[in-house]
Amino acid sequence: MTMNRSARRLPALAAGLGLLFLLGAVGSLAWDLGGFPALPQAPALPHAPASVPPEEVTRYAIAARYDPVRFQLTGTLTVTYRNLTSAPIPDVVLHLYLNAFKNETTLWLQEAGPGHRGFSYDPEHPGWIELQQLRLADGTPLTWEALDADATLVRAELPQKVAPGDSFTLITDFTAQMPRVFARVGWAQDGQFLMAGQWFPKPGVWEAGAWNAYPFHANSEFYADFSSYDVRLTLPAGWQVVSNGQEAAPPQSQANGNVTHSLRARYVLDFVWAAAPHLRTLERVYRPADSPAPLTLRYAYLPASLGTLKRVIPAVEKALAVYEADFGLYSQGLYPTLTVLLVPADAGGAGGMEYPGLFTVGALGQVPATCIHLIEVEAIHELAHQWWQSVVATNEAEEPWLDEGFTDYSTAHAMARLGLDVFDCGDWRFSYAAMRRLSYLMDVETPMAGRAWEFDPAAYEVATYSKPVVALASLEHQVGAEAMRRFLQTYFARYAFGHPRAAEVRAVMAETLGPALAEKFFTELVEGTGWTDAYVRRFDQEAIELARAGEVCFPLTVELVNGRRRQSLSWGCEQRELLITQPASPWRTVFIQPQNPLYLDLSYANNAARLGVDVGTGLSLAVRWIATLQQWPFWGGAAW
Amino acid sequence: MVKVRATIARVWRRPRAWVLFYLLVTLPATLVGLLQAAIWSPLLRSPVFTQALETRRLDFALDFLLSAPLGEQFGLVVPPKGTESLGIWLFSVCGLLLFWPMFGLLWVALEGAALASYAAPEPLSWPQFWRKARFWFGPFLLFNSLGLLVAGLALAALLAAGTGVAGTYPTLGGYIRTLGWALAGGIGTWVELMRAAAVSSGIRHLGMAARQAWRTLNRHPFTLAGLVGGGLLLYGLLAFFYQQAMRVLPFSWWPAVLVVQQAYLILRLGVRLAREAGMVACAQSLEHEETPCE
Repeated sequence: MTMNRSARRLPALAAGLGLLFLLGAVGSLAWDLGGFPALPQAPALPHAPASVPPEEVTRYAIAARYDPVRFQLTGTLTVTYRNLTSAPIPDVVLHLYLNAFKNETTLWLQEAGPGHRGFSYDPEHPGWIELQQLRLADGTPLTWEALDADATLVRAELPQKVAPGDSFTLITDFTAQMPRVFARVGWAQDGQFLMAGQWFPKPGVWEAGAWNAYPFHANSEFYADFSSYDVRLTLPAGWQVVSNGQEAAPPQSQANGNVTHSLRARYVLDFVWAAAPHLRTLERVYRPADSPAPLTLRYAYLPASLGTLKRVIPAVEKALAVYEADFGLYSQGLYPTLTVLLVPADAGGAGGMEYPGLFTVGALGQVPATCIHLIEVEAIHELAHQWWQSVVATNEAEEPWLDEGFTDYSTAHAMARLGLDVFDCGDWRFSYAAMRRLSYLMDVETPMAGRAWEFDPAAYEVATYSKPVVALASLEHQVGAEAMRRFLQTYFARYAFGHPRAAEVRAVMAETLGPALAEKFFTELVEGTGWTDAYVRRFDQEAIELARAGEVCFPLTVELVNGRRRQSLSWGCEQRELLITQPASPWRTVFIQPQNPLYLDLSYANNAARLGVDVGTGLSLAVRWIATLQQWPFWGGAAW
Repeated sequence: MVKVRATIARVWRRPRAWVLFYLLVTLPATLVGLLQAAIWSPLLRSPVFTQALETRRLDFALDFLLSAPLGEQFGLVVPPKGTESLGIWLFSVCGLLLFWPMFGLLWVALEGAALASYAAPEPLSWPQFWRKARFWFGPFLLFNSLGLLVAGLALAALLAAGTGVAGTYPTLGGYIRTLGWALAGGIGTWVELMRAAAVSSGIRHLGMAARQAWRTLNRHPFTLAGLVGGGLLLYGLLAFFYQQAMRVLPFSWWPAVLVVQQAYLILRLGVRLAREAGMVACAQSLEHEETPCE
């Protein structure tokens, strides 16, 4: 070998390496730009689609125009309300949700403090909504009055009562000022992205001879009738729009260069849309058009959210299969699409929100490490709302635990079924249910039942999310997965497109899981302040004493160990304490519920005891720790 | 190739450096590790502590840590009461921080002696060995520090760039970050070659050592690529089998874990020394043109 040949070899080698790196970069980019995960095989229809669509109480026709410079929507709303109750309607109450964001002194912002879910309110860019006029379809003008200091609720007397079975039609012109994204709604990306939620005047729910409507509170979400919407949105040319409805007609260009989009949604509680010039959509056919329940999944995102999208797609599609199998068919087959909107990083306040047929992801604002599955949790949680609240339409203001609680339990259920933990880094795992339990431990005596605004923000988190998760998971622990599925399927089938209350849930629980269990669950956990802590009170050479603290009781298993000798005992609720006399060769270790501890149990640390020190574990730990320390010089003293 | 093999064979024929490196990482680690273990020993009364370690479930670990009576009893979350135990606690925690740079310096000192013993035609005596260690300590510290600085900067830049694009293009972001690690590894390997070239030619000057390393690379690119690639392959295989073994072995089987871990560490150290010995052989061939290294 000569030097000359060697000298020629090296540049060639370097060029080859450079080309390899370049090819790697191009390949990575190509994978990012394409390479969406394959659609999972949609399971055969697990449940029959709805044979009779629900009755729609309200019909909306809205024509609105968006001005992206002033961040304003101006429009006309026509709403026809049918009185399906037996009580005549004397007046109408409208929600004007955006007025909660008109300044820092509103009830909503006073309750919420400076921010909402970690995103702060921008007083320079508030939100509000104004009615220019209000009239009946025949032109009769109506006067209205605010029912709260912020005018998030207004009332107008009708000239004559609307008899049961009759309907009335209201027409109003309105202007809605969109805030900088805050609490689910507003603009971001310097005005190049708009999330329009709670954007139009909306009647309350007429039931039991009164309007069920409250001023907008920080903890509270929404309650509405099932409705149909025909919406015409005029947006600047080039803006793309997604909604929870379908395109009713092709977009029409206007003389001034704007474009009008015609959208329609049926059997939904709300109408929501988002628009941006660079909004992209990816459609995936989950069930084909010739299926009894066709379903297309529509993912809407800005290019910068591509990384998030790659994680959201498999989470949504796998969880969808779990929910359909375990609860019932998505929207009972009535919604042909499900839209998943990934909000941009600066619109995180609009992320993590559910609407019928559409939910948003992006409340974290940024993509966490791949071993932390918070994006997946968010997507799977919001997807579960398609069953709990979007279709089984409980009252989020009066009974928030019914929608958030069942949804969050469903999230934990799906995460477990999919083998996904919230945290799965370096062999250490933390399940979603365990994370919720940790939050529950902050305030174990909070009842779940209660109106949204009756809780402070911390108690609201426990009462509506965490406690229901640990309570329902503990219930499942006792009755088994199959019985729990039967309960949830019955509940969903019976109350889809209805407005059940806690009493109805209790009745279904009593029917499917037994009256005694339902009584206990509601009395001690939903309405009560019950808690439980099983613990080892005494453990020595003579005896083992186990006890329970708190009024809640679930049957438990006790395991006794001495080397290879093991014995399992059942510890039922008839015994508050359990006394075991030690045999001649005493048990060395006792565990209460060792494999699968009860989520409601206040502490796992006192669930077990041992006679003496576990030398084996000590040596195992020391050996591993020494090996870790041995490798430290490798990290600093040498590259590899 | 014969020369490379013969030099690599000196790693186990002259095992002094291998043994010293192993002792260097093992003795302080054992001391600190046992001290820490002594402090933890009261935790071993709690089966939940064992459960957390065996199942790797954070909820068990958190319940254990958050349990106030346990915290007070075992002094895990706060230093134990009493100055004596507090002293041990502080010593073991600070010891970790203090030992690390000391390991690094001793490592650097041993490196020169190790390479010199592989380069020498006959085994070095103990006095010769320590003289070589002292002789190469300064230059190697400079080479390593500069290498660490450049590699650190390159790594930080590429990690930041990769993280920046990962939100939109996760695969490309991951690729750029991987490239960052590869570049840092490449710089480390280059410094390794510089050390080998310096010892082979007796050059202590940074620039001249770099020039000599470049000449070695120019002369034997494929042999060096084979050494580095082969080393990586062996590392990969070792790491794979190690991970598999650690996954399979139950937490409580500490003797088996001990054997597997120490075998892994010893072999890993051997692979590294063999690679360096091979580099020495290649660099020496520049000085002795009649005995090419390949």
